[in-house]
Amino acid sequence: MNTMNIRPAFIYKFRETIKIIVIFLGIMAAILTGVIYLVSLNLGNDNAVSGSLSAFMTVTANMLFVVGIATIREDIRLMMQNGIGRRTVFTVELLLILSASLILAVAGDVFIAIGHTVTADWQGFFITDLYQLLYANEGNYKMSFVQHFESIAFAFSIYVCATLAGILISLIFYRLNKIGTIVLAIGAPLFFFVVLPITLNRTGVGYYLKPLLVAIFEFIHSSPWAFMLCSLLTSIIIGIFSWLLMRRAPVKPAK
Amino acid sequence: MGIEIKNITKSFGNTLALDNVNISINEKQIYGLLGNNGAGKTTLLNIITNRLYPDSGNVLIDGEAISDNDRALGKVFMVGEKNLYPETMRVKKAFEVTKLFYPNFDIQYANELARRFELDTRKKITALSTGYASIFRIILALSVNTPYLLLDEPVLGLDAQHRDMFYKFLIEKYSENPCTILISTHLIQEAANLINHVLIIKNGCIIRDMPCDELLECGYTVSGPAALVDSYISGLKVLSVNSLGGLKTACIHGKAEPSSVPPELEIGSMGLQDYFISLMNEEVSK
Repeated sequence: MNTMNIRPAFIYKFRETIKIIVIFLGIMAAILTGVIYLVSLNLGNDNAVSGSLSAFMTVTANMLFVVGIATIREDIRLMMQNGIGRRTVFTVELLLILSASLILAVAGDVFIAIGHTVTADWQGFFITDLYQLLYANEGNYKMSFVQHFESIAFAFSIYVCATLAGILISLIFYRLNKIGTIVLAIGAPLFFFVVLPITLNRTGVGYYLKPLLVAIFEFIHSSPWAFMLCSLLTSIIIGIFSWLLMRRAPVKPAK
Repeated sequence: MGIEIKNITKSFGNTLALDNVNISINEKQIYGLLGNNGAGKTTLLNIITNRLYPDSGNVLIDGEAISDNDRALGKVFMVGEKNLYPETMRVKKAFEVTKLFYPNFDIQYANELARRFELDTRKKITALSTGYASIFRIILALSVNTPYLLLDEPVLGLDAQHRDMFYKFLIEKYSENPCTILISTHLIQEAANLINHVLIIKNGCIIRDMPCDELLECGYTVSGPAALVDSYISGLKVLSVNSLGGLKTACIHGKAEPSSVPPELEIGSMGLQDYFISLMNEEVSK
């Protein structure tokens, strides 16, 4: 028997997410327009200028990561206040992550396409994105229909993973007590940036790990679909951990 | 139908917050959940609304388990001591959002109450003072029209005038559209007239669960010269004794038998607050 009340939760979350997306795309459009305008002022007689713009995907992933961190606790509180259980909250979060990621992936591709069209005659100036930097032929950033599709799917997989990562981190801190929060906030960077590199170097573990890491990176770089597969697997693992953290999370008011 | 709380136990570390609590909350009655600080009132309310999971036991609303059950949870609205709405949300938006989740939420009535309480609906919720934050929550509760309403310290930080307004609106609302209301409050005297069923909780255990009238019939007060009172109460179950000068007032458990009371002593009925304090004192002295 279905006891989930998804509709109002989805409507609320969708409205909030669309606001964020519109503001973000507005800023990105302004940046793209500004850059194109400024570059056009410096074009030589032969339309030659040196430069590139290639940050849309990484900026979007960062934005979604932060949105994941910032919104999940608010959503749990608001929806639990309004008679929506954790399972529905999580389902709605997933639906919105998928929707927002798809919208932003398509929007990013449209941005790039517009940028390409406007700057088609310019020599030495490229508007690209992570997909093209990793997988397109060097110097030839014009994409086929299939590559557009791949680029959208590639961005989509990154965005889903980034948002879920933000949610997971937020939930970890949400579930920890004060001491745990402090320990993790100090311990995690200390471990990853000090203890781990030193251990890998000094103990020789790094020597044995290197081929494995190289193999992973080569696999990821071999095809956008390989990357997407890794993203998908990572997203599933993060999603499962997030649900486990959220499943019985006490609903605490904001501090 | 109603809320069934079955064998609920909840601990926080070594602290036992609720100890095998069993309560049946019937429809369309006003319950008073009374207890000292740390007795487990808020924990119980949070478990009823699934904000907390118990270590054992379960809660049923109209026969349905509440855990992740939106249909059951949608029948309850709880206003706690703290705000659960997003920090940047404005009061007006909070009304609209609540309407989205609870279709019976009466926005017009909420705005009317906001006007009567002089609550500025354009303000951000976090910008409200303690008193107005309580008013905001009270307005939500009064306008939401759910079958079950849980109020945890609803008048926290409210001045006397606004408290009076709240009680009047609550009675008005209850008369027009009876629902089950569970109020947890320390202001027993003020809420006593509303309550028709009392739940008294102490150290995580429900020590009284009965209609208010029956509860108050469980005891009486006797006052008069100290020596006479002392002689009268010997052998009776005394809940508490207060002395002032040469006079003494004792709260006695049981029913008064007028024939056995000396004419110099005055017999009175106990108020809910008197009974509660006496009961707490009795428990302390044990």
